Amino acid sequence: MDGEAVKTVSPCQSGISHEAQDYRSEVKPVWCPGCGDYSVLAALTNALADLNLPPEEVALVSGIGCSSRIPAYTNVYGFHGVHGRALPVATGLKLARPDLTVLVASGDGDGFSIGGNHFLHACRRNVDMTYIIMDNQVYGMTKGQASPTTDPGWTGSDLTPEGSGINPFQPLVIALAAGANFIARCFSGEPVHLAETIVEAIKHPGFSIIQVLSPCVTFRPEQRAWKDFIRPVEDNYATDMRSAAKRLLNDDGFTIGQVLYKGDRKAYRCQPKADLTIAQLTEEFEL
Amino acid sequence: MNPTPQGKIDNLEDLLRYARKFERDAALRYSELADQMEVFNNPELANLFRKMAVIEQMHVDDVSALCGELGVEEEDIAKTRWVGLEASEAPDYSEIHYQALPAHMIRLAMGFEQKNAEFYANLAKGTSNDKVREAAKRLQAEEEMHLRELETWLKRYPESDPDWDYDMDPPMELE
Repeated sequence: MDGEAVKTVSPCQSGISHEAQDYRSEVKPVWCPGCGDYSVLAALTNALADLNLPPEEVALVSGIGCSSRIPAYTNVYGFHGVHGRALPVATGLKLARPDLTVLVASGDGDGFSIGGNHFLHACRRNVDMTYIIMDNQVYGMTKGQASPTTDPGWTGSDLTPEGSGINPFQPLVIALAAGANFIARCFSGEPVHLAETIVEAIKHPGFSIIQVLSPCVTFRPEQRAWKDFIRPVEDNYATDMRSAAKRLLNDDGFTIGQVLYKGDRKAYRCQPKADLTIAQLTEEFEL
Repeated sequence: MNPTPQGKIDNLEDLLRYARKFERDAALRYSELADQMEVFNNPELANLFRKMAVIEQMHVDDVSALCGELGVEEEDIAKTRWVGLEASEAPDYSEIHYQALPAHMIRLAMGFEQKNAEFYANLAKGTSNDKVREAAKRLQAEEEMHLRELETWLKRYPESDPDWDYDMDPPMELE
């Protein structure tokens, strides 16, 4: 392996032991009752508590959509950004402040459609951050239209009364091809596994992506049945792209339970410039 | 997929860690569900969830009392992470519906109390540690007491209407 196998994640040095609740803000979520995103929020705060990260050393960046409301519900640094642009914001933040643990939250529409191009290049750049995609295969906030991961035959929207007829996006296959360093799929109905995977993803160097199947019980009520056909993968994660690709290409999108791929690419970092004096910096910015 | 905690509990401290964490998680979860129901203007259910949160907090207090009696430092067990274990008494978020009726949720809570009582009963049966057995039996008795309390609550509410989830103004029609 030419990259770092395990990254150092610095727990709180002050001796304070954080509980999951310490990462929650006073803002009450307005997701629909039964929404999978509640579980993601709980798993995320459990993961942060498990790592005992000081809240002021964590940043959570999001785009637009139901899932992107999540920074408001936490008390870590948050940025509720522009539609599809969570990843570039987070990339800039991580490069400027490599000491922060940077997390990015998004949905399937924000992340794979509006932000699809940024997704490809975030995988390719391999900056050290964790991308949590809450995938419910629908645009929920705008009242239920087909998203990039929607089945082509879904007829639940008046905009696509005969289905979209378009093959769904395969985010994890694409993430692998584009260079993501850690790939996992989880289910919001398995919050324990999700919390463990978030811990692992944060610890793994480079760009980590976790696709979380998170049902939209309002616009895709049939997704309540996901819990019946989600199943764990039985073998260990792949460390070579060929095996990981084979597994992902043979997969129906409902296998969870293990990390699917762990790579060893070195995380991208900015080369630190030599220290400049204020006078030199002023000179650099002079027109 | 959730790992069973039984294999991890072989001493009194671990049992109390488990009990405290899970009761606290359940109290927080019920409190969160009450918030959800307030947001969705279901005050009856919000009130019910608040009461359940209080009950779960009483379980936390029971564990604290047990720590005091058995000479276990509560501060030490409160540091438990155990990210690998899901609170068996906390309802899954996906079980909740915005039009759910109190009877549904009481039955759901009864299921969790029952499951937890069985867990402690099995633990008491399977352990060779006398202190763990004694504490597990006591925790089992407390779960059973709460189960009986919920049974009396259930009698106060009518059985569910078959059309309980019919929404005259469903979100799908707003497009």
